[in-house]
Amino acid sequence: MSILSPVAWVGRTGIRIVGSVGQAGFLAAGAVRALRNVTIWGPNLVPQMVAVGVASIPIALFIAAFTGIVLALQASYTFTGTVPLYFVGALVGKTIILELGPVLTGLALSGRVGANIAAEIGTMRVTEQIDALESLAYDPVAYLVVPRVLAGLVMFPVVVVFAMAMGIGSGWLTSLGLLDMSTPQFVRGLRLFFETFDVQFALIKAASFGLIVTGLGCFYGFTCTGGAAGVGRSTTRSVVVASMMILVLDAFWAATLLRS
Amino acid sequence: MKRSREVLVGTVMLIGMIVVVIGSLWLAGSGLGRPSYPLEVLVADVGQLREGNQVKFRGVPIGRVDRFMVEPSGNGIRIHVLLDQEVPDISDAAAVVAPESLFGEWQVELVSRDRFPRFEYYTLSPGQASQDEPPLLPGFTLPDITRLTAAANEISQNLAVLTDRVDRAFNDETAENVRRAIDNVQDVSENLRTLVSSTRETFDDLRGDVSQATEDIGAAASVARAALERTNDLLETGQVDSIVTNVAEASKDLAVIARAVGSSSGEMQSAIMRMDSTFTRIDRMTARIESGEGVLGQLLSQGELLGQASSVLVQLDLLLADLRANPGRYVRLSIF
Amino acid sequence: MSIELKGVHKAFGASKVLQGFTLDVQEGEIVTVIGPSGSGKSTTLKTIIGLLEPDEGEVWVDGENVHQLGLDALYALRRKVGYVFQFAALFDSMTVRENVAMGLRRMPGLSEAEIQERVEDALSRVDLEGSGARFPAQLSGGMKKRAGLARAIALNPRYLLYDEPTTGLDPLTVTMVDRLILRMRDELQVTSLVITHDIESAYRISDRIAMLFEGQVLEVGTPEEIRSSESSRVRAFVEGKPELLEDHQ
Ligand SMILES: Nc1ncnc2c1ncn2[C@@H]1O[C@H](COP(=O)(O)OP(=O)(O)O)[C@@H](O)[C@H]1O
Ligand SMILES: [Mg+2]
Repeated sequence: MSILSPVAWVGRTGIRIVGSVGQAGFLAAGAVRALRNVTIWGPNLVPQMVAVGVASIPIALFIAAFTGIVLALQASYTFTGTVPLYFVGALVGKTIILELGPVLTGLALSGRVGANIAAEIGTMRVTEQIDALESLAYDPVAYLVVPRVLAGLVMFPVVVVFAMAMGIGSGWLTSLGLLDMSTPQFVRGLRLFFETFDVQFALIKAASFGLIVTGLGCFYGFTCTGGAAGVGRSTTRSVVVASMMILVLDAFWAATLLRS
Repeated sequence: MKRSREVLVGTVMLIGMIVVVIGSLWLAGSGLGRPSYPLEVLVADVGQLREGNQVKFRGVPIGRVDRFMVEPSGNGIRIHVLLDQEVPDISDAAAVVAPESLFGEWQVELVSRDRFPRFEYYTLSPGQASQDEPPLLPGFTLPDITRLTAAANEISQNLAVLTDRVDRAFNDETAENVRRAIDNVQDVSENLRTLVSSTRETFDDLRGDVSQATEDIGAAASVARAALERTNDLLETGQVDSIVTNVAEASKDLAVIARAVGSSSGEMQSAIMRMDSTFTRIDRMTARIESGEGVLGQLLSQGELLGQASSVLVQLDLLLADLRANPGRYVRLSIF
Repeated sequence: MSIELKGVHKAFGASKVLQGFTLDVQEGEIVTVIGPSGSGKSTTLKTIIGLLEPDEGEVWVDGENVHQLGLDALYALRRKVGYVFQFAALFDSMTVRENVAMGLRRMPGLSEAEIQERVEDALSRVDLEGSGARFPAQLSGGMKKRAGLARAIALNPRYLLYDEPTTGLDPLTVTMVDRLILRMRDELQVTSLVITHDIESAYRISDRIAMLFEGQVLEVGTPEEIRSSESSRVRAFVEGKPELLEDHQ
């Protein structure tokens, strides 16, 4: 091993990343172009909305329920004595709506939805089903990518709404049951710092997470090579990269939309 | 199968939309569907009040701030509020815009004017007032705590500047001038004495009223000296007013002497004229002090500064009232 | 109209798979490509419908240069070409019937009833009448292969590309598939390019046979010409005698 091998590694990695970005851009451009083939992606949209959105609601609700409980308990633990207890409502509401609702749901769905898409499309790639689609005059990008990405874009915000409602609801029940707070107290805190913009912000974030999770799932599925092992690699990579991108996007939106 | 899936997706999306809309409206505190009663409050400035803040009557929330409208004339802001119930019948009603607690949310409190009589409720001049729906209440906005501290800061800075100026005025400029003037007066009186002694012979020759005049001059010189010594003392004790009167008196005395002597000798006349110009300088200075033109004068008539402070520092009202009544006490306290 | 490959080169990274592959298939002709595994037979078929881009050379199908076509024209061309994948490549989220119907749904002006009719017709041609409602995972390897065949022929294409259609099938089914290939030619004047390892079946169905070796067509001729080839490489392959190759070396 020469001392240059780390340098070579950096170079290789850099080239690979640039190559991937290029390929992803190519796929994205193909997806935009494929939008006009409504007859191809149209019939797949509703099933994908079910798979990406409706089927994700239970896991999102589960996560949100426990998040709400934990937030309420931790808030009361932190506030006791110094800050009035109704701030529990403010903290639960603000945190769930602005941050944890979209981000935790996004992370969970990058596992559920992103991995599913990467594995499914990756399998189709290695078993030549994508070639078969092309041979039958289907644009595979229109048939596979467009409905999934559109479903993600539309359904992630819907799922996040359910999660936010659940998180606030469970935080409220926790405050009533375990914290000796009253509903008016909780609601007062909830309303104290509420801004309608918070919800818009959360939904914008959720839509961008939907785009990135489904888009990356499709990308890693499409570029999958090497049989079952390759599908496994693509799936893992899709989840890892999508999770990182969710956090990066989260910071990006906070930096662009929250700074006044 | 296909259809039921569509129904499922549609249902989920509709529920999501309903949750967002209803939830946002509820959290934002909009009373959807409930009747609301509009009311307007006129204020000079809204402070930290924002749309959605509460309107209270005797501590009970009865409505919310809907929006703000700038008066077209530029004189003040109209706060449009929506009440959940009829506007309460308050005698001589007014509104106070203030934080709920020191660091709390801002709110509009409907009050009777005699509850806080000292507040300067903002009203349109009669010409501008319009008899309109919704009712318009005069309002007063309490200064914001941040502006309060800023104002306090400004005042202390002003005081520091004043202190500095007064220090400089007394030590370097004014005091020096006064001292120099007094030296001159002494010089003059010295000259006067020399003049008197050197011209004694001449005076001796002139009998009658002339010798009388000479005695007068000597007396006058001692009067002048005494006056100037008094002046010096007074300066040291800092009683400016008496300085002024005494110096004026002294100069008047000397002027009388000068006039008396003036007719007697041409040589003397020139000496007296020198003396005269010295007194004129002192005269001018004391006049300036009295008219409040100089720095010292400014210090003593600093009502403007106090007025400015009082417009902001409502919570320091009493202090400022006292300050306005006895400015000297406070100013001296901090300056000297 | 025909299929024509002119000096096609294709490499995957360092491995040069096709190195000047030239072959033409006349209208209504059945040409079989034989050659060792990994010699680039499937690669050849994929370049024909534009699934792979050749590094060099031209591919002409139905009078059009495949790799110069715009996206829409390429999809229009693909509607005229049936492709039987080596491993069937059935959509495993769909039943056999839906798989077969997929291509038909991209055909303009077909009613749902006509589609179903043609699906059943295609299934009966490959003896899969009873299996239309099954999913690919519930089929045996041979059945999958036939379902893939049905999906390609259901389109009534003018060109059919078969990638090892008989590999792994029982002898009876092999005969059935051979007859199907012939019938497609005889009844519908389909132009066919068949890839096979099964030399006997190649003799039975082919008008001409091309031997692919080291990325090029080593020899092309009628079954008789191939049978009596002078080339030891061809003879080694068709007679299954590797020792002939050793002699040659
Ligand atoms: N997509 C691909 N990426 C890299 N190598 C490939 C790819 N497709 C085929 N190959 C390689 O090209 C060679 C020819 O493959 P193929 O055409 O499938 O052979 P066969 O003649 O058995 O059908 C093989 O060595 C295979 O490993
Ligand atoms: Mg092959």
